[in-house]
Amino acid sequence: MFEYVFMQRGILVGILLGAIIPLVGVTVVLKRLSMIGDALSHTSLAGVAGGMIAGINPVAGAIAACLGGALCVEGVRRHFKDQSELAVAIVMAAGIGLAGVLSGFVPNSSSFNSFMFGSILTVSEQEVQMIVVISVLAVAFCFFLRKELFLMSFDERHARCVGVPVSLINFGFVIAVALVVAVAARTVGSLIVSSMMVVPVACALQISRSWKQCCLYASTVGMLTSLGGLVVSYELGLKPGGTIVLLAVVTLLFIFLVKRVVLLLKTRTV
Amino acid sequence: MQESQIAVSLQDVSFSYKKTRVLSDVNLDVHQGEICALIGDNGAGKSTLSRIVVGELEPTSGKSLLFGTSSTRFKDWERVGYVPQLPSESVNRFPASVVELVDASQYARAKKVKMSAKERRERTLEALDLVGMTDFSTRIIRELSGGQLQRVRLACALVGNPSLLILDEPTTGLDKESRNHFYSLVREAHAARDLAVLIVTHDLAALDALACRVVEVADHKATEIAGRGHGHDHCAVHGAHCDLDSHHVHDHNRGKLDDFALTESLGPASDVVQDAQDSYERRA
Repeated sequence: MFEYVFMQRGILVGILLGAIIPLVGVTVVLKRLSMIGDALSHTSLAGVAGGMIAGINPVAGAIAACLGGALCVEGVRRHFKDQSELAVAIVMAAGIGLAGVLSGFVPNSSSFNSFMFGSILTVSEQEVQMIVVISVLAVAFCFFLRKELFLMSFDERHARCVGVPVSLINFGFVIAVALVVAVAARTVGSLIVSSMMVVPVACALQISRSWKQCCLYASTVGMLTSLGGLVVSYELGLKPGGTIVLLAVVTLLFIFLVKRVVLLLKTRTV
Repeated sequence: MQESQIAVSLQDVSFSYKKTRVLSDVNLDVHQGEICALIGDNGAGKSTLSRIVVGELEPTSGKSLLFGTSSTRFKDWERVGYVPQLPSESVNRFPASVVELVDASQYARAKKVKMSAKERRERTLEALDLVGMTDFSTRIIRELSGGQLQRVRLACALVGNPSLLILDEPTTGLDKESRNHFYSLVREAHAARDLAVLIVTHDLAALDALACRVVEVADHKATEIAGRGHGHDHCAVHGAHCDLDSHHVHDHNRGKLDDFALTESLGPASDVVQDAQDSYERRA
């Protein structure tokens, strides 16, 4: 299967996104903004529909819509300071509503559908380049600002009192998430990207003993489940996006099970 | 007095949330070497005041200064240590090791001074040693008790090299033993480093253990109800032996402090409290 160019591209994109989405996901989950992936991916669908109607590249439309959505999330979040989750839900509602209405005007509805569940095996070379660039940017952001992201995820007030420019980094982070979600929506699917943002992080939270470990484990689980999901979907003729997420959920259940067994064995020996 | 020797200075600070007035014309100075406790009922504006002090909120009018610089524009955070309330369950489950958390809290210092990894680690372990948590350095924070977590957060506050410690209800939710331990650590740090300490509290034990000045926030105002009495450097001189009894409690406010004690159900058997109870029973 590796001799096919579409599989090579699919695997490269799968590994990159498998590593990147959970990496930004760690901060998203720990800042209790798990819905942000959902909100932005639904908004990206609106961008895809808009792009198709306007006759421009749908991924460019998705990026524009995600950036707009991200600015709205930050704006609404500042307005409802103590209810940041509500801010995200409001943007999601607007995004999904807009996507729903615009999808009625899209000339090629099967192409629009491919954005909902993704089509990782049909990515073009140009899209691969775009994903590589955004992956490098996202990794650089998470690496160079790891201390800031760590402190802000732990406690924003504490972060402010050690001198972290909280508002600026929050803003930059939401933009980074928006870019990752926009390129991921095309490949793994708008409806699946938020699951990839959350499930590998949930796996990592079960087994990590530090923030650093949590980031490493989340990315590793994301990468392995992407790779595994692609292989399984190829062999069994399944849809890749859905298979990747299901594999991540199975991994999480397996970790729960192993933890349970280890706990049982420990209590027995005590 | 040079301005830089005043760690916290609120000058005619007023604050409103939309149209609701929370604080009006509040004046408060906390000098270097002084411990100041802010007390008051829930919703009186203590937390708002502490958020104004750290620049998270901007006063509607008036000035809030940290070491002579406006709090919202203040940059030299190495000079400030901050310990908040015991965080919620979700933060307790955060995947951070104790070392990681204290190390990251050197952020302000690391921005200013180039430090090697070894130096950072030494400073981290030194701060953990100060609060007696060296043995827990590799633990993940969800494995700590509330008291231990607050000691780690005190280490985070002390690791920078602060001149000012802001404690925002640091012992809420802790048992008596953990609270006393926490206060003794703050007292030691204060005595050793001549810190200015601003503590927002509900806990009368804190006033006994620490407070050199007690300021009550009520009716949008901050009123000093137990003063320095001996000049602002009194605490620095007395160090660990500094307690409320050695202070000049304004006579007309003695009742207020005791009332506060009564509401906290820790009621000391003072005459004033007894009088208040008698009067209440008569009315009942």
